[in-house]
Amino acid sequence: MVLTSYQDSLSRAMDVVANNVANINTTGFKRHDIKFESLVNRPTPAERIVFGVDRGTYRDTSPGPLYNTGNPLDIAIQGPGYFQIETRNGVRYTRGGSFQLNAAGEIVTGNGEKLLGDGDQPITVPDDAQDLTIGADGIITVKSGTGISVTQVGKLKTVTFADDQDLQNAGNGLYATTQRPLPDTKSVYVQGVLEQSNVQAVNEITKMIEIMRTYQQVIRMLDNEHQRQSTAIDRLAKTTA
Amino acid sequence: MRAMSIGATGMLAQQLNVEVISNNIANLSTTGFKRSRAEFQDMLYENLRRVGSPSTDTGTLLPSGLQLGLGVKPVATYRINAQGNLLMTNNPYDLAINGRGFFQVQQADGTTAYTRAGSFQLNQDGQLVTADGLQIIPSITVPQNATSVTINSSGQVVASIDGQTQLQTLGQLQLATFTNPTGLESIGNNLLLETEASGSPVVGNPQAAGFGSIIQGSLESSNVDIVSEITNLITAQRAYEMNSKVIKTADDMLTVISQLR
Repeated sequence: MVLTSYQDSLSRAMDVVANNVANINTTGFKRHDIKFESLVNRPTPAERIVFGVDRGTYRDTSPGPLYNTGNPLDIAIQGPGYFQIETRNGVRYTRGGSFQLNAAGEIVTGNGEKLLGDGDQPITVPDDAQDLTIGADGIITVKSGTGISVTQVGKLKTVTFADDQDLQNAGNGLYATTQRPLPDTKSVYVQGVLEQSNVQAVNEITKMIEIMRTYQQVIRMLDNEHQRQSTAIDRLAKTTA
Repeated sequence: MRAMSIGATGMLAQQLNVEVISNNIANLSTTGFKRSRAEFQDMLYENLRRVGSPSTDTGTLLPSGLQLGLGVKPVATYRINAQGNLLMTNNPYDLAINGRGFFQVQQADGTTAYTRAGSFQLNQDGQLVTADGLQIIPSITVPQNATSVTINSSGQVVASIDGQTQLQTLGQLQLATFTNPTGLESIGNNLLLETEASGSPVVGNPQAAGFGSIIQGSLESSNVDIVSEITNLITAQRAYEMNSKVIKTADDMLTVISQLR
């Protein structure tokens, strides 16, 4: 019983590692880790059985390496902030800064959902804009008209949260939360650069081996226990006979 | 075992990544080619214990849930419209666009396609056409007795005609720009088509506000950067290997179970 509960948890731990490795090239992805906890069942002094259970996965929020793409609408956040994305189900948050323009000139994600800038409004880039530049402070300027004058078309806005772990993965690189977003004063922006996934291959492979070995041990113990029981039954049968 | 199918999504994603990279490398010396990049996102999550749900009846909340991600999926291969290098050819009908804009050409079915590849030639009627014989819009006809054709940076086409002292204006080249050029659909042969995502074309003269200028005797080479493509290829291949390791480990774990009596 104890062993099977742990074996179950191990196979889930493997799933978490698999998801990390699968997202090794996903922009802005944060690796997950699983946390084990011993669950004490029937905690009387006489019999104490401890179950190993996985109680939760937590997100490693350390920043990922930056990767130069040369695309003016690829934006990396250096700092703790999240971009706000307007989706059909309400505002979602993301670290993945790979944006494009839609037909109306608004800055959108790869799924066509609008990025919310300063004042929680979508940012629109005018039709004849050239040389879109995003400063470290998030101010977006373009050259429009005959190309001499520089106009500001908007400002990026990112938010932070009191508890990063409370952000729930909504898929598509987005997070959902019921927390109230706080203004972000620490982040700076880098244009033409994307934050890569913070998954480190070495760590994941090592973890995979570790899970595999533990798994084998658990099974071996199960096997031993099975043999011990059958031997016990055998011997008991002999003594009574 | 979810790890198996999660590993499979990872392998599929990296395979697509390699396909995109190999297309970039294959088009290393294609005139006017713009490189693409595959973009990935994480898939849906399975919530085994939802974050923030009450853990006791005294109002304590779970600080982190038990969420299992189900892998990765490719979402977009987007074109990076950075300017390519200009290559001098000294051919009078080789035109490069420096800045925003696309040449418009008329397809066989009468619709307009857009291209950055400005290697034009003359057809039997003296009209300016692409290598596939598609006419440029607005059409330019060079008379047979023209000795030299000059196209200036704002797209005016003038020719000196045998026996005339005055230069003759043959026409005006025009460019089309789009709000979202990444949204144009590639159809091969260096041609792009308008889509709902690209917005409608805005047509104007080169060098006007928001339009690039024309450089005669040059071609825009592809904007593929071979060093970064090869680096990406290596990364993609390694990621592919890692994902196969995941599947192998999951398989080993299943083997261990099957050996259990």
